[in-house]
This record gives sequence, structure tokens and C-alpha cells, in this order.
Amino acid sequence: MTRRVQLFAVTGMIGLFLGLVRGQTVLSLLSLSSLLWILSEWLLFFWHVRFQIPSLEPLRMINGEREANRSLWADRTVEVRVQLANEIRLWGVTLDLLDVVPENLELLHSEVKRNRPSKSWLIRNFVSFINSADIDVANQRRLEPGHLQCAWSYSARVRAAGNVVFPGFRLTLQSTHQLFRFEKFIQCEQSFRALPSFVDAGEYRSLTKKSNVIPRHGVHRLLRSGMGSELLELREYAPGDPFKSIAWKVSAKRDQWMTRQYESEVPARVQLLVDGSSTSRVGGFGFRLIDQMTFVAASIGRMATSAGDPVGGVLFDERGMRRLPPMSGEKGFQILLRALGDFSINPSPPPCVLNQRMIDLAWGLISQRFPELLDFKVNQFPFFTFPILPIGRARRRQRFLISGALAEICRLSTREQVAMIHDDITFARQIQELLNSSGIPWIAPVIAPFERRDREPIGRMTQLADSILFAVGHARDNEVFVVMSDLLNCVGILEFLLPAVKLAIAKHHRVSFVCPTSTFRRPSRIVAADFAGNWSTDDLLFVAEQARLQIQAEQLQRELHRCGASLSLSGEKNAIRLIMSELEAAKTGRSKFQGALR
Amino acid sequence: MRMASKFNRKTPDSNSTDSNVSDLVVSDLVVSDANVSQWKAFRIIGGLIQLLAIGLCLELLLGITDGLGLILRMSFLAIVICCVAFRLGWLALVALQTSLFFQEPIRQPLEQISSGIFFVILSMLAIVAAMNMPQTHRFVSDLFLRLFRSPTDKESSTISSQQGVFWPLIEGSKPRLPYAMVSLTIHVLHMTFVVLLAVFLLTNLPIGRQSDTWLQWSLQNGQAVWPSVFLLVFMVALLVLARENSWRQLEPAQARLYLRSVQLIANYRDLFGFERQRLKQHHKKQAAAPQPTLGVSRRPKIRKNSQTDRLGIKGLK
Repeated sequence: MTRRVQLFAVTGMIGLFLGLVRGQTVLSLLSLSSLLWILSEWLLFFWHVRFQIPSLEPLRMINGEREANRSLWADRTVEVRVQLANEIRLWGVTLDLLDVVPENLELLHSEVKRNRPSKSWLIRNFVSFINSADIDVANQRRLEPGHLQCAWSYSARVRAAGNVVFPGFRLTLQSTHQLFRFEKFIQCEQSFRALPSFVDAGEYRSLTKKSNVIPRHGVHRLLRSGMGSELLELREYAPGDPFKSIAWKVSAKRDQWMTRQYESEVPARVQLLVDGSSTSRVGGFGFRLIDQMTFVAASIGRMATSAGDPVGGVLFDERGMRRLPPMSGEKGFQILLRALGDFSINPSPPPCVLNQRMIDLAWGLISQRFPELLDFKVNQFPFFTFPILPIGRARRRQRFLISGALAEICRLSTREQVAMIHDDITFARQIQELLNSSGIPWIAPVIAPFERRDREPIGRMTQLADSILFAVGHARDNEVFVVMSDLLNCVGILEFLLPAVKLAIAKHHRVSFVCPTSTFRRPSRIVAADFAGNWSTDDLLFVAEQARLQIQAEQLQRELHRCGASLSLSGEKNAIRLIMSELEAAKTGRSKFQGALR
Repeated sequence: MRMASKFNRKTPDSNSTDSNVSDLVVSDLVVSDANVSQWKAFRIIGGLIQLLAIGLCLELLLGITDGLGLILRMSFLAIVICCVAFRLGWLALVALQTSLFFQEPIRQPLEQISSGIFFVILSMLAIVAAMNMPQTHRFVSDLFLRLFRSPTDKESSTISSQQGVFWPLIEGSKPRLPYAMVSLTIHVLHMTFVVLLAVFLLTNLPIGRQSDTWLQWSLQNGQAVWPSVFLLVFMVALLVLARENSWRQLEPAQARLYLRSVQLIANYRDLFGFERQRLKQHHKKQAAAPQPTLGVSRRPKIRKNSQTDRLGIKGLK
């Protein structure tokens, strides 16, 4: 029952009372007619709620199939088709059917055309009537009275690796005069694993040979039976080439120093170390640091497995480490993708202080997915005296209702429900759990603003060092360690990490760091010409951030190069090229691959 | 380019739940790009005409501006139109009731009720039209578009080139105009039935003049109001049935929540006491516990160098 019908009923009753008291028949008749009209509308609406809605069965097909537990790909389009399994007949009511889309999906071809909102309520309403806003929401359809069947489809893009869970459909039934409204959520859960996207980074080899192909003493290749080096070509001698590779006869014939260059088909192992700590998970899907890391990791895995090189990994975060043994071939690549996809799912967020935005978001989510639990008839709460002001009372009431709904959703005891009502920490924790399990990304208010700042940088560095040591312990020889972690904010505490890096290099491994940035760009100095004189506050903040990152990046690069490790400061193709160059260098056994794009 | 804007674009969709569902109106008539502007124009024209028509109708029904000047009359009409535009049907009902309250003669015999039936039906239809603005508005604009379009444009009117993925399947749907006429007829019949039922109730229930007859009858029968006992039993039985029905209609989660709520209300004071005690102890523990040292402060002493000092960052080895 909406506010409109309440006003209408009160008006009708007052008019009827006055008409009967004063003996005004037409007034009485008009008032009684309005009351009877409301009653008839309610009966019609109740019939729909009682008999039509339960028989409603919407179906969803993803990419033409109804089965869940399949895999989707990040950055690719998903075709969703929704239809009603049975016919429905509506009289005097409209039905809005909304397919609730997870946050990890971005709707395509969904256009919202709104008039420019006016600050004045009067003007806004009048304009909205004269030229009413048309909102084409791709995942929503409205069934008008008389419609029998409905089907539509829409497309969406998977934003990031992880999981994609379609929770169900939200129904809103309302009478055509908007007197009554009924909301319901139909559970129709379909869960998909979203695999990370990958890209072919193109040619990463240098066009010119500049250094020795023969491994130094003590550097051993990963041998594989039946595969050895064969002569590839003869080329001019370059300083640094070992003397034993000089082709003496050819040199004598040509009167020029010539060197034999060998073909190398020896595989080299790649170890991907992905840091999934909480700082890398902050942000919207597709904009997290871990999304860049999984993209780089999947691309490296694709290119390495295509070349026949085994790829392993260590995935670590606050929950612990998970080792992926070296795998090769298409099957190994699929296993790697699945592991990366599962690793991208956000765990429980770090605790956060309760705030009103968080409560409002939880209210919106529960209203959308569990509207029946916010019904005053079933979600009752004790009377309270304080606060007295209406705003305070409304917030208190809202907290009671959310606590009741959360207790039911999470199956908590009554005592825990009371704890939620009176303890902000418990309440915030439960709301965070609800939002996280519903697929809301780690952005404010799910976590505190500026959560990207590291809480325990030393702990993270220690864990990173441990994972490198763990990988070294399981490695053989001459492997490439690709460490993907956000190190820019840890420049001052690298001493906790560098010993492990030095140990790995001392064990004849190659260590490359990929340090993604939140701006998706390499930190660079911004010049005034970039903005053409139009400086806004955002621009100034961006420039300041870039300057800070630039300084930190230079220091980080200097420290890592001093140890013998390489560094890429972007989570894009340049980083992939760098790693593949290192891999190529590891195959040839050279100490350093010159000419690689960094 | 801007980090903040990138992250702001990822705000949760749940934030949009506060938008009014009634605004999420999608027209059945999906037009192509070329006809969007034409359709919008018809929509505006149709809206204005409809507003004016209903406003005039209501103003005629009210009839309280007959003796007023033109300016006052136009002002009143503007107020009525605004009420209609804002879908305030109940306000139109209030206006009509006020008009009748001041203009209708007092102590009218119930036999004269038949003279007001037509007026009431018209009034109710006007109120319903005012309350049903979004649908009628869309219907009128679509009707204008269909009437003024050339037959060659028919095919393009059903193709959505803009969305490409967005089409309704209206199986067995009839042309809109006859459907609307049928709908209008049903509304009129419905309203007529409602008004006639109201007339029946007013003339047969013990209210008004009938109440004296009923009172005399009751006094003659042992001072007992005849329908009271029957009504009481009937109402109690109806209440029990309604409660039973509403309980059986609850979903399992709702039933669990209801029982939990009952338990919470019954034991709220005790539970609140436990919780308050727990919080007190927790705060005491927090106050007594030593302040945790920051992780950075545990760092070993690091030799500084001049370059990093210049940059304002703690030195490296």
C-alpha cells in the first residue's frame, strides 16, 4: 500500500463522514465511491499477487545455454537472454522484471536518457511529465496490462577475472494507478568462473644480436632429453662472444671474425609470483591492481606455453600461499587460468569503521535482493524512546530492520542480532560480509577511503620475500621469477625483500618485477603542455600523484637494478615484453638480454 | 587520465535502487533513430493536450469558479493542471469534496441520490485519469505518432536500431487503438459498478434516514441491535481466517524472521544487558592494553643518503 492510497483513503473517509453528518448525498456518494474503488483495486491487485506472481518463472540463458558452472572470459561480451517460461495475463497492473546483474558485468547498449535535473522539485516534476524521461535499461522490461509473454536479450562485458554470479530477478508489481506495490526477488542463481583475459604482446625479441649466447660458467640450462642446440647461423663477431664459438675457417675465408650462433629449443621455466594482498584488491572490478597482474600473468602463461615453456606460480595473500607446479601445454594453461580466476575473487575485506553510506548501501542491497525481509509485519523490533528526533528515529528503525534481515540471511543468533544493533564494529563487519558476498567490489563504503595505503607494509614485504624463497626452494636452475606486486609504496622498506631477491639471483635465476600502477600508466613527469592550460583540481592531484610515483619508481628501479633484477612499472604489454625478453635470455643463457623493451 | 574518475565509474549498481520505479517506463513503441525526435515532439504535444483536457474537465466539475473573473479562473485552472501533472489524484478528490461541501444543500433526501450518479461517475473517471497519467500520456503520444505517420514508415517503427538487442514479444497483441477503447470501456463500466454499489450501500445500510427506522426496530426487539451479534462473530471469524491465511502465505525465511522478532522483543532487555556488559568489558580491555607499536617504527636503523633526504623519503641502503 503506497502513500498515495493512504492519502486517498483518508480523504475518502473524511468526506464520507462529513457527508453523512451533514446529509450531503452527492458528497457521501463520491467519498464512498472512492473508497469502494480503492477496495476493488486492492482485490484485483491481491488476486495478481496471490495467483499470478507465484506462477511466474523467468529463465535466463547465458551465451545460449542455461547451464551454470561454466567459464566466462574477462573483457569479453556475454549474451544474456531472458524469457518467461509461461504465459502471464495482467489486468490493471504493470510488472517490472529486472534481471539483477552482478557488479562484475558491465551492461552494453544500455542507455539512460535523462532530462537535465533541475534543483527545483516543482520544475523537475513538471518537466518530467511534459517530456518524461525514457530509460532504456537493458536488463529490465516492463509488462503492461494484457501482455502474455515476454522475452528480451542484452549483452554485457565481463569486467575482470573472478566470478560472475547472477543472483536472480527482481519483480515489482504495481497497480496502474500506483496505489499498490508488491516487490519480490526470485532466486535464479547462476554462477560462472571468469577467467582472466590475455593478449599476444607481439614480437619481443631484439632484432640485433648484441651479446653472448653461450651460458657463462656455472649457469646450467634446463635440460630435456633429445633436444640440444643446433647451428642456426653464422654472424659477425661481436665483442663479448666466447672465443670457442668463433668459426675459424669461415673467418679465414672471409677475412673477418665470424661467430657461430646456435639454435636454442631448450625450455625455460617461468615462475609467476602474484601478490593478492588487500592493497591490490582495492578498486572497482577491472581497475584493481590484481586485474592487471592476472592479465600479465595470463598473457605470459599463454606465450610461454605456446613456446613450450612450463609455467608455474605462487599465489599468495593474507590467507597464505598456493603453489602451482610448472605446467605446459593447453591443459596447463587452462589450469593456470582457473587458478588465477579463483585467486581474483575478493576475500573478506579488512575491517572498516561504520558509516552511514555503508548502511545505505546495505539497505539498498537488501531492498533489492531480500525485500520480503524488510516487511514490518515480519521484521518487528522493540519499542524505543530515544532518539526523539524523526531523523534519528528513522535511522534507528533502519538499523533494527537491517540487523533483523542480516541475522536471517547469515543465520545469526538473537544475541548476535542484538550485538549488531548496539555494537558498531559487529554491525559494520556483518554489512561488509554481506556486501562482499554479494559481489560488491572493494570501494568505499565497503572499505574505508584511502584503503589502498598499506596497513602492514613490512608484513607484506616479508611475505613476498617468503614466497620468493619458497619458489626458489621448489625451483631447479635458471628459471625466470616474475614477481607481480605493488612495490611503489614500499620503497623505504626494500631491505626486507632484497635478500630474497639476491638469493634467487645467486641461485642463477632471473628475477623480474612487475609493479602495476593504479593509473594504468607508467609514472611520468607531466608537463604543462599536456593539459593545454586547462588545469582542474583533478589534474593537479593527478600531476602530484605522478610526481610522487615518479620519484618512488626511480628509487625502486635503482635498488632492484643494483641487485640484478629488472622492473616494469606498468601492467600492460610492456611488462609482458620485458618478461618474455627475460625468458628468451634465460633460454640462451645470457646474463642480460639487451635490446628488450622495458 | 584521472584516477578518481575511473574508480568513481565503478560505483555499485545498488546505489540506484532509490530511483522511482515509475520512472523506469519503457515504451512499447520502439522507434528508430530517425523518428526519435518526431516521437518526442508528439509526446510533448500529447502531454500538453491531455493536461489541458483533464484540467478543463475537472474545472467544469468543480464549478466553483463560475462567478469569478478571468484571471482567478485561469489561476485556478493552472492549479488544477499542476495537480494533474504531478499525479495528485487525491488532491483532485479533495478539491471536489470541498466544492461539494460548500455548494451542496444540507439535509438532502436520499431519494435525490440518483441525480448525482452521473456527476460522480464523471468525477471518478477524471480522478482516475489524473492518477493514471504515465500510461495515458504514453498512449496518447504513441497514438499521435501512429496517426500522423505515413504507411511506408511502418516497418521502421518496429525496429530498434539503437539498441539492437531490445525487443518485446507481444504474442497475439491487438492494435493499440481498439485495445485502448476496450480498456476505456472497462474503466467506465468498472466505475459505474462502483458508484452503483455505493448507491446501494448508502440506501440500504442504517445510515442517514435509515438509521431512525433501524433504531425503532431495535428498540421494539428487546433493545438489541440486530446485526451486531452476527457482525461480531463474522468479524472475529474473518480476522482469524485472515491471520491464518497471512501466516500460511509467509515464506520460510519470513516465518523464521517473524519468530526471531518475537523472541527478540520478548528478551530484548536481558539481551541488551548482556551486550552492554560485553561492550564495557571490551572497552576496558582496550583501554588497559598497551598501544601497539607501528610496523614502521620496528624498522632497523637505516643509513640515510643525501639524495633520498633531498627527496623527502627515508633512506635506502
